[in-house]
Amino acid sequence: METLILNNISKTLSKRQILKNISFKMNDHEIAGFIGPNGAGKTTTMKVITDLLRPDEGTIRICGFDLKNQREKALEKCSAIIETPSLYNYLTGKEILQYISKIRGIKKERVEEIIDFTGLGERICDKVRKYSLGMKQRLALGICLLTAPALLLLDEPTNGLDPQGIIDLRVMLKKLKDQNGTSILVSSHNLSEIQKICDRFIFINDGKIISQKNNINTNIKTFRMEISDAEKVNKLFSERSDIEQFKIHNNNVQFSINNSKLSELLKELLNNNIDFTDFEQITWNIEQEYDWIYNREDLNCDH
Amino acid sequence: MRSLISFELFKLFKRRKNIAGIVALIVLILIYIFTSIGMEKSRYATDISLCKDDIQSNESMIKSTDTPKETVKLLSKHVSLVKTELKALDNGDWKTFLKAKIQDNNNKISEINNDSLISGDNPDELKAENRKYQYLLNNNIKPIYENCNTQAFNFLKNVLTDIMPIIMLILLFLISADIVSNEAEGGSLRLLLVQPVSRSKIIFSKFAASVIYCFSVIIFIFGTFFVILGLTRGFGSAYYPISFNNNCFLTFFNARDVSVSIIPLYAFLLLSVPILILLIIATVSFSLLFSTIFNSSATSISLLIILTVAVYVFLNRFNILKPAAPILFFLYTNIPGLLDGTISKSMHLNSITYTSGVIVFILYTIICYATSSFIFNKKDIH
Repeated sequence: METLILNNISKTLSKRQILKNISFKMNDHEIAGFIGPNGAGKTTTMKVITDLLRPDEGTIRICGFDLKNQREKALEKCSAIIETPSLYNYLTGKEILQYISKIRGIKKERVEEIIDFTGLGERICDKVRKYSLGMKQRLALGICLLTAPALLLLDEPTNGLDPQGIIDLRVMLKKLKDQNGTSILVSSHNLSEIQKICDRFIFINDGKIISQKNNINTNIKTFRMEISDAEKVNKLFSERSDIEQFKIHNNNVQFSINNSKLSELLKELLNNNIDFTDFEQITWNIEQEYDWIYNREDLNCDH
Repeated sequence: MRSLISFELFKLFKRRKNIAGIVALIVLILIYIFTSIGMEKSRYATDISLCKDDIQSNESMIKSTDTPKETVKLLSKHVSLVKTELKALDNGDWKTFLKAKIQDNNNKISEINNDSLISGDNPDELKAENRKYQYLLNNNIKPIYENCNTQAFNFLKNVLTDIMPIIMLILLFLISADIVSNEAEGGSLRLLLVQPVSRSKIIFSKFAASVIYCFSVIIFIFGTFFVILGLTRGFGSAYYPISFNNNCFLTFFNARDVSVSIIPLYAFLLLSVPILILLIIATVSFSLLFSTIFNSSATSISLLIILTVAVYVFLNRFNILKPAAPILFFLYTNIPGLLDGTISKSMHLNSITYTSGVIVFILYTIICYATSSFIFNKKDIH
């Protein structure tokens, strides 16, 4: 089931177009990493999904409910932490949980469960102004989990969390996905952490979705080699539709291709009198992918 | 909706800034009370010295050979009555004092009517004064210095006059002018807006909670002072005669000159309650508008306070705002002044009436609330 559908969302703030025709979908039982450099539009997208910002164009559906026309029903299915959790500093953690649960019509017993989940212990009765960033993050997560949301948006949820907090968060997100079927959209700069929990990655840059990739695709492999003629390789690779993506830097080329097509590609290189050396397979990881996607200024070309 | 309003109320009760504002208002009222007590004492001393001066100046005129015999006769009668007043003041015999005053005023009225006395006194005002004195005598009520007496019932009337309305207004601004902007600035508004509740309900809950809170604060402060002053300085008479403008229920369109009569203090206070409620609602609504427009609490609060003080200064010192005066809600904050007609007299504008105040407050509430709600519903929350 599709829990989130963004269709051609555009948003301009202070005369600058922050989001440019963004479209993507999320399904239940899915954790997606929302990745991009600072200012790419991640937080703005999340704010648009939670109706904090109103899009100039496009539509958003959460669990089938149109956010514009069925706002309350759509938001009922959704929980979110956007940016650093800004809570009421003059209230205690417990007071905030109790009042939000009243607004959402949640039973008192659930509040006690969530207090246990936050791990804040007796500190839950302290004023939020006395909390560390990690404690605020735990409380904000607790607020999100008061209900069992169909869609959970987390903007930099590991900020301020200690290692144990990060492990707990990872376990909790996987549990939510598996047991509750929650779709979780997580934005984070902690790429190694995000790789551990996400099924899919959505890459955004300059307000546009530039790539979406599944976490583990056993068929697509990435290779690197030194080549004798970069121009010929660029022309050849550009013509081939089976090459997922490639970049050429000086006489080095890095490319991803379905494993079954590799031998055919190598033959074609030889047939075109292109010599290659130092051929190696590169183990895929998200950092490499990030580097591939975003650091293009060093590249002679890309695809 | 109830849970939203109770959450907003809870936040208002918990905020230190609001508690500080309430404490500041209590301190200012205490200063006002002590100043009034001092003024009451000096008014008594002034009355004694005025009587003495009056006797002295008239006796010297009587002794003068230039004074015509008829005038000497009139002055002698006056001096005799003033001496009775002085003696009564000294002895605390207020009934004799009032009787002498009534007699003296009656003499003046007939002398003015017979053209045997040239006086700056207005016979109508003297008659009104006598009606009040007679009412006090008939109802066995001791006269007080209305403007500075701090007995409980009179305090309730006075606390809404002079500088107090502007101070009350500033407290209301302090409480409600950042109810949206503070949360927008701090980011906690995001937590509220991602809940499955419509923005219209959220803004209404903020508005309703502010009104309830401000009203509770005012009732609590005035009520506490009423009880404390009643126990320490006496409650005074709820039937004390208070000047009342018979034309205060007319509006902008059919306003007439002030026509003064008297009503009991309790009726005066009862009439003040509905317009006080409307004043609080209109003030909160006005504050809400500023709070919705600006994303900074400091900006919304300081702009409102500067605006209020500026309007007061311009209205009282200059005539720039006078054409717009009837639609400025700041002008209607002196509720006793609306009821007794002193505001319309001082502004030379008959249209500044109680009913005009009610209309202005209702209009401000509707316009400001509707605008705030519209802006809040369309607003991007960063």
